[in-house]
Amino acid sequence: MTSSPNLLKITNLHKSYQAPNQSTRWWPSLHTGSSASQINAINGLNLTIAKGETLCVVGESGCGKSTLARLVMGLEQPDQGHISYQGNNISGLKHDYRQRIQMVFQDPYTALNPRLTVLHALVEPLLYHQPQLNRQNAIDQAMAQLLAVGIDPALAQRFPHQLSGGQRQRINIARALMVQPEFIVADEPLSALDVSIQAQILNLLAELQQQQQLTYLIFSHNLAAVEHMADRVAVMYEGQICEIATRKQIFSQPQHPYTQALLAASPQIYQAPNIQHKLVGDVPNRIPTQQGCSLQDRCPKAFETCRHQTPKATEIETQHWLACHLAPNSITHTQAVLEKGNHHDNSH
Amino acid sequence: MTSPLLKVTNLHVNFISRWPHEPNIDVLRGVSFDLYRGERVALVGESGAGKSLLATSIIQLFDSSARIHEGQVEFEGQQLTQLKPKQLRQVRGRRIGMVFQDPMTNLNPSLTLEQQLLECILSHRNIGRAEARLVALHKLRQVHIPAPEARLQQYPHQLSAGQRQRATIAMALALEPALIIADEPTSALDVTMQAEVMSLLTHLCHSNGVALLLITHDLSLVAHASDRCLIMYAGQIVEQGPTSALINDAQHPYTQGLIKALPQMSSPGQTLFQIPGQMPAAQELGNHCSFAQRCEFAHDACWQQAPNMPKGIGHRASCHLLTAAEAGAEI
Repeated sequence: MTSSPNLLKITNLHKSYQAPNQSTRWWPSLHTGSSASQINAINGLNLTIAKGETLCVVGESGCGKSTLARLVMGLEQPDQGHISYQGNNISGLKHDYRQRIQMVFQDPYTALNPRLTVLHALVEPLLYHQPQLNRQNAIDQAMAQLLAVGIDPALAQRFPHQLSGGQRQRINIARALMVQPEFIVADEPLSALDVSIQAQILNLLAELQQQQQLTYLIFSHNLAAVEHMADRVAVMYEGQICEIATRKQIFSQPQHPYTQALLAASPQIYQAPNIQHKLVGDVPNRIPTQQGCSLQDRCPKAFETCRHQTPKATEIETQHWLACHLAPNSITHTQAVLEKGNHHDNSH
Repeated sequence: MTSPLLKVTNLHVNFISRWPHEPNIDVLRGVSFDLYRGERVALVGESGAGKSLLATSIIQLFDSSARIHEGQVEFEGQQLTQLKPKQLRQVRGRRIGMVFQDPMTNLNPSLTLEQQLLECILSHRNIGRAEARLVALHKLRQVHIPAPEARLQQYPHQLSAGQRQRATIAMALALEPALIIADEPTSALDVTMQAEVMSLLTHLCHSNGVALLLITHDLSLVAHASDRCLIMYAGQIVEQGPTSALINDAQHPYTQGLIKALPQMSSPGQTLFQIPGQMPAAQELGNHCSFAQRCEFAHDACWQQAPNMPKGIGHRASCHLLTAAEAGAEI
């Protein structure tokens, strides 16, 4: 996987939104315009995705996962930084890029137009991207795609409300695959589905990837599913990647306190929950008011340096990047150990 | 043994069809279970299995087209099915609290937390406003809501999703009910909040001696948060027993499938086990085992008659394979 070239490269990406005015007035304020706060949804994010791999991004709601998905899709423009696809900045690629990258949305109920039949929903993107295509040819392709995702072609004339949740998610996947993309962005593709249906969709995604050499960027908070399908896992917090490594490294040796907390919170059927790595408090409101590490208020291991200095991503072993002052070979780590020692001395 | 707090016996609930030529749809088809004081019971099943309908049938909060046409619901010695609406209102909230799935839609967006919490407390308890406010503050502190005095003045949209769900738990606990029914309380939340809400809910119920009926579709979520587990499929309970026994030694093919389908049960990259097909709609159910068409072990007996849940207590499942095995052992 390491030898394959990067398909998508994200460099120092920033995206912020205007925070809603804190006062109760609904009209725009003339006086506080300059002091209106910004929410930094994406805050200096770097990421590369190799061809043919599955990269899963995990994190809590509000950490910027959906914003990142929208930026990668070209649905939003970044404030700073850029995203390049096969070496070309995506803001310069329009129609061609859209055809190579497709999205599967979270909620299969709202992602399909209730007034279009399954067939119509599948044919529409194809005819948009390839207007010269013969109609009958497009219908044949749609039927073939239905078979590929395991849907009986007899259901082609049905409307979304006549299908079950699992069938609808299969249709969503089929629609994304209609224009033969290379790259699929899926925003929480499993969260609206039952456990038994989740297994069907996970198997389908793996099978399609093998057949069509797809690259996946999957956003999820279902860690059990992530462990099953990911090649690499990126952990996102407050618009930044705080740890990124191969699946094995993340799940066997998580280094960042946030990764450890996420893993501990994930329900396991045969293991009692681990309360040792629990985070305190809620997701902060994302309005930057403080310096230092964004996790400092919730991190059980935070120490003095975390309050002043934003940690930088360092490669602690091959392919394992970590942004934490507690990184094993960072200088600040020794500082932390020293400080801890001093602290103990003082308390005695 | 003490008598159960809640005793549901052979409960049948159907939806009355709107047209005379259409038959009524039986959704719950003979559900029986007991729930004891202080016990945490999980009700697990797919969407459409009738979990939520069972929960709402207990306190008759269901849609007006649904009817209990057979069976009994006995709670604290009262037959809930025979109560008048006014008497029923004394039970709902006061004795049986509810926590719903989506905290954004079950809190009123146009009222502050204080208005909602006080309305709920004042309408059930004979205390003054000031005292009710203290109760509300105390409960908000119990669910770890920071700065509860300030939060009381806020509207639901000003709280995070986790805080909203914790506020509804506080509301359910405020009336000191004997039973709380939580219908998918964490499915709108993400992993860290899910863990927090689950531990709050189970610990608070435990420390206040409140029984909990926890409805979910994820077996791994309740594996360590419940004492007993009921597995529901197509309007019937197909397996029940102490949670650890049920998870370690699942007997019904459906329960086995639910466990095997969890992603953590197979090594990464492997094809996951999947239960083929989907749950039949209520109209398609015949007089045979409702799981037969998806079951890999189905044989003739499964298509001839529906299996019965063995009587008694402890771990048991309604499946012809088990009854056959037992009969074989006896001979």
